[in-house]
Amino acid sequence: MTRDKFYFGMLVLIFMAIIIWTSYAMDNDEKEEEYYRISIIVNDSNNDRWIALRQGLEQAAKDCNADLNYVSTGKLTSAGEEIALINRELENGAQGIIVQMVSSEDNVLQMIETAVKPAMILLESDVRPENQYGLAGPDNREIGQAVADAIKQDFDKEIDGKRIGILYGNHNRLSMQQRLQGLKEGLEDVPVEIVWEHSHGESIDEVDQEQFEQLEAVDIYIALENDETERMVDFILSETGSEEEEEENLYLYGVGYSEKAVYYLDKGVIKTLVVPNEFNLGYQSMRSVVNQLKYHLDKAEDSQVDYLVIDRVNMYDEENQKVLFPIVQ
Amino acid sequence: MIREHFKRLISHVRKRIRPQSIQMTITISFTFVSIVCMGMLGVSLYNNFVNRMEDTMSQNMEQLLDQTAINLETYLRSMRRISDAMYYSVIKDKNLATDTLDEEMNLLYEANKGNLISIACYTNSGKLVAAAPVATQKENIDIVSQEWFTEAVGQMENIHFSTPHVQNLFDNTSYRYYWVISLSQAVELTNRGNSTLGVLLVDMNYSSIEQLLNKANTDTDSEYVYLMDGDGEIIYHPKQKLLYTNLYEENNLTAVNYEDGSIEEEFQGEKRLVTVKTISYTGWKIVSVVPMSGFNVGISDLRLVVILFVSLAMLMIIVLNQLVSARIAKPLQKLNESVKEWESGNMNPDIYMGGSLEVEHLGRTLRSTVEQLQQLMNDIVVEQEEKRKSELDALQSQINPHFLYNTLDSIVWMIEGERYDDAVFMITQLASLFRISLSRGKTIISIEDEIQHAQNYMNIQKRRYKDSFSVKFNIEDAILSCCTVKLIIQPLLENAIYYGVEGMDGDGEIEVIGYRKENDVYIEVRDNGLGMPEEMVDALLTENDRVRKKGSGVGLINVHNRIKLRFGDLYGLEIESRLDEGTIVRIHLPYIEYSPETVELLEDGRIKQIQGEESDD
Repeated sequence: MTRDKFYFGMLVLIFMAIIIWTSYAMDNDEKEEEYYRISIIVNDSNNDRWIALRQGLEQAAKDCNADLNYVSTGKLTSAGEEIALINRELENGAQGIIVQMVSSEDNVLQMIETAVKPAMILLESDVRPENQYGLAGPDNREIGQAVADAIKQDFDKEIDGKRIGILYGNHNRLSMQQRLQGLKEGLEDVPVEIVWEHSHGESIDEVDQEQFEQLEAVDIYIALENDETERMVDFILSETGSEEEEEENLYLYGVGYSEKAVYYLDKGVIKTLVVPNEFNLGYQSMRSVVNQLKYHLDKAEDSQVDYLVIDRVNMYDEENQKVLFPIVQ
Repeated sequence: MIREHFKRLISHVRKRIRPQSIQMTITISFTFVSIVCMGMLGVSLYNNFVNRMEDTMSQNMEQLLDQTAINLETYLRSMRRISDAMYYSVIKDKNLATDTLDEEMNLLYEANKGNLISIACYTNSGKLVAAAPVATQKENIDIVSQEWFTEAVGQMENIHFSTPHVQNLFDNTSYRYYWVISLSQAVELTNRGNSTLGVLLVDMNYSSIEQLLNKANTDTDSEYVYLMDGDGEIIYHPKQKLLYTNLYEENNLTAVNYEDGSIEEEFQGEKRLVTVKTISYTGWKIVSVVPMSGFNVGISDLRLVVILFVSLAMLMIIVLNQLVSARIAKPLQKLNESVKEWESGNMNPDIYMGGSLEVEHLGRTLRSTVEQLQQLMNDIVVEQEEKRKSELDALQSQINPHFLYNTLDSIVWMIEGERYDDAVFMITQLASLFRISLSRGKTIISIEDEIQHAQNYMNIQKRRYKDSFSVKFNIEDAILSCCTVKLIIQPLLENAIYYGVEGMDGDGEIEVIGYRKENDVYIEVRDNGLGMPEEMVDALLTENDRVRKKGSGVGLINVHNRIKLRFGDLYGLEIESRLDEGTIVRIHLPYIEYSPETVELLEDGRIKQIQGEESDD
């Protein structure tokens, strides 16, 4: 009889266990998947150049349950201003930050006022000391080299003694320095003369603008950043007053992804445009930061995006147009 | 072979299933049946629900697909109508040498502005005839090699729909580039009566189609709808950009070969339900994809609910089974306990009466049976006792006539020979003998009386036999106050005289010795007579029908049986005999103190009670 009671007790226990397990599982099942609040801070957030990035971010946010807060910013003038924005976002409950740093100067990120290291992805450019945070961007040195390769391919043997001017934007950013380095390495083996290299600090001030306007005319203009490419296009157009003339005499090579840059590539003002895949940049950075939060990683995974070398001829190729032109309504 | 195995299994199971208690049997069978029933019920309910859900889901998906297809067809038809209206109502009627198409084209464009990016008409050499809205054509573009142009010229009778592409025709200083789907058809242009070939291009805004299909993809669930052309080229996909940048893959190139309807496929290790519907005219295919995993997530809740309910029900049933079976089995168990008590020797058990009507009836019947049995047994004991008593009476009375005749004869002779003293002695002894024989009808007397009786008897016999043998009584005082069955020594003495010492002419000796040994009492009657062979000794206590030649006819076996009847099988007579040396007949009795109580108990045959009391002491 005691054995019978034992079996009976076991049976009751088994069913109790099943009931507890199922109700626990149901309870857990009902819990919605967690939403992560991610803030995105980029310089001049309403600029058209971010359309593809933003589409990528939004797609990823939809795919991995993130609540995306695309912070509206004007033109950021200093790293301090940007850090203040990051602090404000973290204070307001952002769990992850995707940020394009205006400066890669030492210890900028140490000004972040949180007890624990936030989940963060740096876009395009790392900061010094490097590799503290996840990095998403193209290989900047390769981009510089790709520009050099395009020039060498276009001029072939006529490159002898060509005078070159380089605009590389915000010299505080590591990415710009890397692109410049890549470009120079690419041009090392050809007899060209780099007449000037122009850059500016965290923002364009009047002194810089003045210096820019007094730059010596050269054969080949190279702009290593989207804003600089647009600035150079504007400069060329204002100098010569007509587009047609430029096509013959001026050579502008740029890095960029804005519709304006693409338009002037189409118009022939820009000879070759190196276009990083901004959609992928947005998509992958969002995934990385969500994964860091989801799996409690110490650091978000780095991701590298590819880039396209586009000229006037191949820009409407089926594959290229899919990357180059965002689908806008 | 199989049959043997089966048999072995059956016998094994049989061995395993030993008879169980009634409660266990009820519980196990009820529980087994209810678990099987609930399990089957749960599984069938679950399957039913799942099938319904699956049906509903695929129906919903098909409805959604149908609705989307209808919307898309309507939209595309309206686009074709624009193209046809432009061609048949405007271009055919116009002489391009004198007229322009601009006004009508603009009107048509303005009317459908929401869905159109541009309308344009080209000659077969790629020269722009008219366009709406009015825009500057880009320089250096090669119209005739653009896909929509070659398609239209290649198959002139059809209207062609292109895949989405970026329009590369007009200069837009706001830097805007539009994704369009080009609808192109070959047209006849009339110029001063001459007909030339041209191409009419209607560029639909891709966003319109995107919006149309986005409506079908508003659910956040994992199912989605996408659109491809007849060659499997994606036109719309909710993750189009990801597809373009290779961050996502779709099974469109396989799906393009599916017939319309639903099909299950496996893509990238995931099972999914794919429904395909072909859009008329364009040959485009609209495809819905429902991953089975997403489906499973939906029904996992249901599965849990079913498991929960089945488990709860089973738990309740098990507890209920236990209670019900206990209610049924408990009275039976109690009844069984009573029977066990009865079995173990308690002749007057308290039989349980209770529980259900049947059990109560059983209990009542059993109780009355036990009572009846008890009554019967008592009756039997009484009857036996009476029978024994009457037997004893008969036995005891057997002594009397023969012995009395002889003794009286002796007394007559004594009186005739004027030996009055001897006669008086004889009569006195005879009187004492009869007094003790009678003992007021009791069977149990003290050993003292019994010895007295023996002495009386021997005194009489000695006179009769003229002291031809000698008698000695040697009895321990300690046993005189013990109980004994009456008249057991006298037959032994009688035997000793008749078969032992009768013819020995004065040398015969008879000795009666009584002593106690532990809890037993022994009384021996020894003679130095002829003795007996061993076979005869054995026969004396076993054969009941021996014919006696002499004496009162009271055999040793009678004495033996009487002692056994009264005191139990342990007691009785033992005989030792050697030829020409003599015989010892030993009476073996328990040591029981002579008192009114013990006498009463022994008279009633309740020797066990006395022994019990003794062992308690």
